Amino acid sequence: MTEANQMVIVIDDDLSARTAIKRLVGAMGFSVKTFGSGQEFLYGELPEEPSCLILDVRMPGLSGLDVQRKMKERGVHIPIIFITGHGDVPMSVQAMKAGAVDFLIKPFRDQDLLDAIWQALERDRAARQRQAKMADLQRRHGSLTACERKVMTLVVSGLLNKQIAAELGVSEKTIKVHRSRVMQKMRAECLAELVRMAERLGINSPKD
Amino acid sequence: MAAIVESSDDAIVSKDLNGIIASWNKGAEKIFGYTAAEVIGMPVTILIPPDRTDEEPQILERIKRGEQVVHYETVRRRKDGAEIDISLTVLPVLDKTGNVIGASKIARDITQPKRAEKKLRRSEAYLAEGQRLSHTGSWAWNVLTGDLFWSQEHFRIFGLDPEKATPSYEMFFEMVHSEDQFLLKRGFEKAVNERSDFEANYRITRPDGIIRRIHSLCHPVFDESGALIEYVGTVIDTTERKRAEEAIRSAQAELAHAIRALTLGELTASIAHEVNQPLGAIVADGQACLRLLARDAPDLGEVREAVVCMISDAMRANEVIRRIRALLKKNASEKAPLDINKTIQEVIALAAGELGKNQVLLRTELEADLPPVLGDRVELQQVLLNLILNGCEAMSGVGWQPRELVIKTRKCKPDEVMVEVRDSGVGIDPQNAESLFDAFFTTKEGGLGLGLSISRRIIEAHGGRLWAAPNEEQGATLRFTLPANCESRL
Repeated sequence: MTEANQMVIVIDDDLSARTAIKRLVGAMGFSVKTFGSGQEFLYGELPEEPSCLILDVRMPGLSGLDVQRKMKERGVHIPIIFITGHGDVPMSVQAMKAGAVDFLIKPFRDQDLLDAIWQALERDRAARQRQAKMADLQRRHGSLTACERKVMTLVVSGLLNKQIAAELGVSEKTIKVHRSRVMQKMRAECLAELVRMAERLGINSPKD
Repeated sequence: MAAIVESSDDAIVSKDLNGIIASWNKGAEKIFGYTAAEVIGMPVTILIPPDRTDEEPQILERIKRGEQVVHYETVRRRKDGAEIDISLTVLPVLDKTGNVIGASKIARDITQPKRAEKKLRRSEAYLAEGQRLSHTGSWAWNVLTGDLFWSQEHFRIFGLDPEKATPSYEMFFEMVHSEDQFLLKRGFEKAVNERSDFEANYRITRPDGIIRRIHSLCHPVFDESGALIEYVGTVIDTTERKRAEEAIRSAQAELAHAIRALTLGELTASIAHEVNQPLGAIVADGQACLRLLARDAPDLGEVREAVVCMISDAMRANEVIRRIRALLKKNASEKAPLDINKTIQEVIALAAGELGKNQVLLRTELEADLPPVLGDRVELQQVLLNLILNGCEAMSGVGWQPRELVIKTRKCKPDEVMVEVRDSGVGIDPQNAESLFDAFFTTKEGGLGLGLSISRRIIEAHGGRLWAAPNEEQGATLRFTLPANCESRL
């Protein structure tokens, strides 16, 4: 994946700061988009490609920390690098606790920014992969019939076929057929893998 | 002769050499309260108060020797016991052979004139005391004769001995400080010509070389026919007062300066932000340049653009520092015609960081073509900075409501400009609207409560007014007016 396929979004109310960072990040080879305020960014379209945010802390209207919180509320998980003209410790702690990648104080070394950008993009890429895997898993789980889904839930909770048959009031043979369909549709090679998938999907055993 | 004696208002009494009353006229009845029937044959001592009983034998002694007692002022007692002041003349009565056989006394009641004299003396004493205490002397100048009267205090203020010096018009003007002589003389002469009141401030040099500041007031006095007789006036030594006023002014200037430094101290974080913002941009642009130049085919157009930005950002950082220095440096008030809108823009640049930190949206509605105001730039900046910071703080407690600060200017009268700073903060209790301006009144934790009182002092020193009012919906508005100087367009 080349730099140009990755988007760096700069949000800073100060025009010259915004322009300078855009130029620097552009010179590093990334695609850059800029916004003059948090609102502009939040109401715009979210990028498709792996991306990260360079966000100024002090801005009129929504502050950088406000933007971070609003993104979380909306389920937007683009990694954030905070920048500020004058940072205090509590502010940076708050930002880092809320999941920021880095907190840079202007003027910063370009290598520090570049490192932070790489780290943030890596995070986003990993998150996107996780998200894609999860979506795939959910799709597979969605393809199960109601009956198969019940069987899967009972299987991963550790019941034997015989016990499942008694629970659902069908023959043990029927359960065996359902079980092999579940393994097939979920592309699970063994029971352990199916249990892990169930965990990721948040399937709990009915006894709990 | 007898009729004259009878009708006289004075008491005319005769007595023999033993002091026994022989005759008693109507005047005596009126003055002493006894009728003739009551006193004839009685000793004259019934009229004498107990503490003066030794007077009568002495008087009798002199009469016996043929001497006269003329206008002897003493005290006698009336029938009702009241003591009265009298002036006594006693003449010996001789028989045909020239022997003294008795005395005739003429007594005049001088209680009223005595009382008036005492009163006058007392009021004179009070006046002199009052003059001394208030450092106020008085004078009267007779226009016709040229005679000049000075009160004791006038002499004292001018450092002269009332026993030795004789004031005159010429002497007075010689004592006036040479720099003030011309104007004072011209002003006074003009007042005399117009027969009008006159008021002046001038300095005098006392004989001991000490310079005093004098404030003088006077007005003309006319006779019944309306002719000008004299000018009467006062001189007040204002040297100490002037000195105290100057001390207060300089203390206030120092305080204002300290507050300014304190305000800037509070702003340090914001100012650091203001300086670091352009510095950050310069560094980023420089780094971008290096990266651009490292390419095989550098885009020189973009490099040039970055360098232009770097220069303008460096200027911007310098401007912030220059403004801070200007705000910290000056002490004495210096008024010059200035564009209030420009002053507001300068302050906004200084407060931008603080506005950002508090997430305040600033809107300005500055009326174009305002007449210049006569003012001290730094002092007015201090007031504006104060109002902006107060507005920011008032809004820090309003949670998620919009935080908007509006600065408006407009011409409210042909010769007056009004500046308005409106916030959407917690507002003000109408009860507190005036005490906001008291020194040490504060609603902020850790606030000194000096900002608004200093601000009001500054605006009033500019001939304007500063007041606060709650908004109808949310927050408060602080307004101040400044007299505009329409003649000197900027």
